[in-house]
Amino acid sequence: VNLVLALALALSAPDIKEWRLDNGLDVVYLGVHRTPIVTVQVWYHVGSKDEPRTLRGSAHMFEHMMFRGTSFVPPQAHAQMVARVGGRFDAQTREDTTFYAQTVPRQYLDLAVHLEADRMRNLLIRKEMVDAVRDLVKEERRGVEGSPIARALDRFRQLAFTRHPYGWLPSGYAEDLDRLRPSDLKRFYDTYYRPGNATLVVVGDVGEDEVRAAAQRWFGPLERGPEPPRPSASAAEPKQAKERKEVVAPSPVGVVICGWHTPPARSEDVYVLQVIANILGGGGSQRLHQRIVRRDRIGMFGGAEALIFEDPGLFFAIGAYESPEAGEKVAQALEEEAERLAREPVGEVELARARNQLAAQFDSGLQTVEGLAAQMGNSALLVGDPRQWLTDADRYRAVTDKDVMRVAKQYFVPENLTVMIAPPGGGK
Amino acid sequence: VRATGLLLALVACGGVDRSRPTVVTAAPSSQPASAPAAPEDLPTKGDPWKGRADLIVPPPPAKPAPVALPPVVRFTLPDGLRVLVVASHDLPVVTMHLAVGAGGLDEPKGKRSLSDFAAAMLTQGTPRHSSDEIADTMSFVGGSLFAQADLESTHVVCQVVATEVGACTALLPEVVATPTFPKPAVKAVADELLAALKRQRENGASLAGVHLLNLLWGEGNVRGWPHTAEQVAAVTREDLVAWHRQRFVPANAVLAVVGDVDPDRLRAELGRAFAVWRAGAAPARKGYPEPKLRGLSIRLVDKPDQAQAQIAVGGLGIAHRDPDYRAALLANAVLGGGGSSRLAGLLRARTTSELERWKARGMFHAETATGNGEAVATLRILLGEIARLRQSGPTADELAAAKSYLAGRYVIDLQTAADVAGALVVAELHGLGDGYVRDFPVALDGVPLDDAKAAARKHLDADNLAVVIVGKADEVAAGLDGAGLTYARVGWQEPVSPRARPPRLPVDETKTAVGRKLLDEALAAKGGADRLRAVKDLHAVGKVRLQLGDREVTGAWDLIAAPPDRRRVAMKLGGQTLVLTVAGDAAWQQSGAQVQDMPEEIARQERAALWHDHDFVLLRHLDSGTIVQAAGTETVEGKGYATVLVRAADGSNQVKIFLDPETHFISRLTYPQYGGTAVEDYADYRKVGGIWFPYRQRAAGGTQTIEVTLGDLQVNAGVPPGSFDKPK
Repeated sequence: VNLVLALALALSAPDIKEWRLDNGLDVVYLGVHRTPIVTVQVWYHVGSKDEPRTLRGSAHMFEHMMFRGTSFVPPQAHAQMVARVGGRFDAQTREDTTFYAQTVPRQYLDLAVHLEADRMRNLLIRKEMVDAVRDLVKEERRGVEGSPIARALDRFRQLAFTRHPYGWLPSGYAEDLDRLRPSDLKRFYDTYYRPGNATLVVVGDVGEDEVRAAAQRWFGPLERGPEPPRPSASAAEPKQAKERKEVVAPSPVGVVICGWHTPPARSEDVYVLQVIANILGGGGSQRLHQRIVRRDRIGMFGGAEALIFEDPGLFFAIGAYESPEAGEKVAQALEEEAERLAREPVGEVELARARNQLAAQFDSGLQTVEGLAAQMGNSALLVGDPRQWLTDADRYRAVTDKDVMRVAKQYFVPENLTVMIAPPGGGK
Repeated sequence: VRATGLLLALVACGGVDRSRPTVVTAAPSSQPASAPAAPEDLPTKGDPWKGRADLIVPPPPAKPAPVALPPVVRFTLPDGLRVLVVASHDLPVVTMHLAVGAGGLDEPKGKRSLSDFAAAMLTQGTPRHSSDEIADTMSFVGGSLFAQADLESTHVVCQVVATEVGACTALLPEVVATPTFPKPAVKAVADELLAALKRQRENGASLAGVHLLNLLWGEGNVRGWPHTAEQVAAVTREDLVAWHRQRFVPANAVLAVVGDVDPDRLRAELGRAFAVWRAGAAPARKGYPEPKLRGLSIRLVDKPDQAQAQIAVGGLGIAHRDPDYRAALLANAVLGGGGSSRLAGLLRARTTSELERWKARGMFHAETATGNGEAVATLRILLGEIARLRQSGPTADELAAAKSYLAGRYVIDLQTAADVAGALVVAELHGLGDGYVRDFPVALDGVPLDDAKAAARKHLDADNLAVVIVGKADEVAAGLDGAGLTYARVGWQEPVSPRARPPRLPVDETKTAVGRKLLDEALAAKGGADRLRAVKDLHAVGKVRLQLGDREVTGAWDLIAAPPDRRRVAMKLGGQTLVLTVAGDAAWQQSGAQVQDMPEEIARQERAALWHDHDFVLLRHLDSGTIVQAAGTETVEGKGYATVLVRAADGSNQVKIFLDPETHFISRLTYPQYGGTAVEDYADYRKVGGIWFPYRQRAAGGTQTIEVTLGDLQVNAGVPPGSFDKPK
């Protein structure tokens, strides 16, 4: 069985180039010449944690608004121009970042960079557009409302983060979305959609010179703008002193979530926490499923996830159940399984499976230019180094049973724990 | 640092992501961008982009570049297996893709699911490993191994990180060469296939596709034979073993390996691993006559719950090897297969057209959806555009756009090891070679306008097409009748194949008279119409036995019925009580504390079940307009029964009643369900309140059976209060 496998890959030392334009825009470039295509992504260092507390969902609005017309591109024309050359596009809002991406044949590098530079500063924030996007975002939010698990996670985040904006989800909230005026969005846009707050990532079958020229041509003239405020910097989550437990309004299915505060993405421990999440809840044969569904037969689902953020994040274990009296038992099972990791060493096979699955998932993602660019953008924004991900697969594979015990001992303690029980029987 | 990833598991439990991506694919909006009015932040009114010369416009389409595919190393293993290797060291993974020439085209008429069935069974066990062990091995290394059949081949694909290539080298040959087809897995796979078939028939768009295949290819071609539940249920382990033995031989297969591998080492390892594979020759693929289409052949499939009508249009296409293939592909892209196609511009709903890509001649087909009332108008637009394209072909600009779209799409979709392996396998199977993969974008770009026009003229036959419309038939029929179009109308639950459908009723006055007489006798024997009509409620309790594939459960049965439209069945199975209730328009199911509305299709089935309920079906022929036909004598287990077909006036329900010649009691009911036939058997009649009720009841369909043995039955004892109230 493979323990620590050094990946003998050309990719282990790819030639990533980075530079900064005078206006502060960071550019990261990697030449990949397998197929004649290029992906152009802009990663903005803005996410739901930068939103005003009463205007949650502001960041998410842009994910859609950015396709709906700038001074020089009519609504939807950006997406159409990309689609018509066989390209594909994407956009996503998270807690710390918002990114925009398109992948096109390499001949259209300049067009893609031009379109991204244009919408960085020239978005036309019109009332009609805002209203239409608001409806769309509210519709997406209803997706959260319609899912007992997503709703429970939303509620749990509010309990676990008493002060930090990670207490709310990027999806947005109807009452805040209704409150948003075009002028609020314009202010948000002018604050965060600036070259000094973004990283342009280009990966594909293009040369560095072409990328430098296109970046300078289209982004160069943009104004740097003032340093954006970081509301989360003054909203650090206070250190928890004792266990928190709350029984909240009933849910259509019973849901229990146990969560522990964890360190930020910069910490080495996040790799161990992801391995732990896989051991506890990666799939059908993992520990929480075995315990809750198979052995104790107290619920129908068990899982776990490590939320890795720029600021300190959260590890949570979750169980779903039907029988009203099972709530406490599920909570106990979740806590016990997490705390057991601090006492008993994980078996070698179980650990190896978790490490392998994470590393394989990671490696598979590196096959596409989009996947490579996303790793670079994410690394650049979350830990300040677009090369950090290069060692991720090795870091997963290097996690030992001692690491698991140490990390479990450090974080899975009662004074760091929040438990939420949403009993079954609630309406939809 | 990896982004979070539990959410897949959560989705299985009903969860959704926290921050959903908006747009993932490049399908452009088919609706014209709405012109904004009075923008708040702009001095201009109306359309701020209209008439402007300074907007960003895309550059003219650029010359496509070839794919930088590394050299393909080819060798043949001692057993005759052809292998293609692309050693691509900058990919951190390996994909092995093996294709065997065993697909839907090879299936015998009565077993149209054999290729899918056998593919699903490959990973269910070998002499050396159980299915759990195979799954565990792949899960341990974070890889995947799956098999799937299509029209021409069975594909077995293994993907792992490069360091774990040994898992694929060991397991892929094993599952391909030595599957054991364990019996328990046969039942489980049958259930999965039946469930998939059921989903396919319930979805309007996929149902349209099923009917289009049947209508276009007809009964004389394997592609026209629909898959049915009976055929899935009829597949035995012996069929699977024989299928594998005949067709899964090295000479009938090709293997592509792409990723970070050393070809020499791989060759040695594959040689050892595939040594277990028995050599031999596969039988030649059977040829079928191509269908001859004359004019428009229209089939209207009545599915009254369709808010929108689904329209599918199809004709014969061309083979992948045909010299016209690229030109025809470009013409199709202009019509409805591209980023800015004509159909997408003309029709509001998502409309696409596709030219199939098979070694054999495939088909050309187009799909759209529209309001039931507009179905015929939409069909006219669709057919009109096909005719126009055929007549004048694409313009130079359209052709350039289509080239740019298809070439771009091709290279963007050719990134992963799996993408490359799949493309190589197809090129090899179709006899095109790896140069085809490398040069496809460039070759596409070289197609002259005249060729594209000629291809449109030759291969888009707008006059001779098969058309299927799935929708509210009454609304759609009005349009078809108004347009003077002839069509065949069928119910969505009826068999797809016209040959399997019961003959149209009414057909014969004598048979009506004979049938009605039989039903009158049966009704009198039952206890008479008056007594039956006086039944306000029924309460029956007893035992139930359910057989679901290889699983069997038994429990208690409790039925309360209040004719004509309310029925509540409670089954206590193990520790759980399952309650199914239909009360007029409402239908719900309750499992433990969970209450949910039945899916609309299930609810419709339940309401249909009320119509042909065995205790009251003998009143149906007294309903106005009901069609009755005596259907002769049928023998069941050595005994002859008089049979009568009864069909509701609106055609919505139909049942065949088998009557015992001595007692005149109902012995069997059959009716169409999910493209197959459901069978209900009745016995042990006992008299309660002057009416004879069967105490033994059995229903079967697919691999599922339900048996009920009544212990007690009460008539007009009153319905317990709240029986039909939906729990809060």
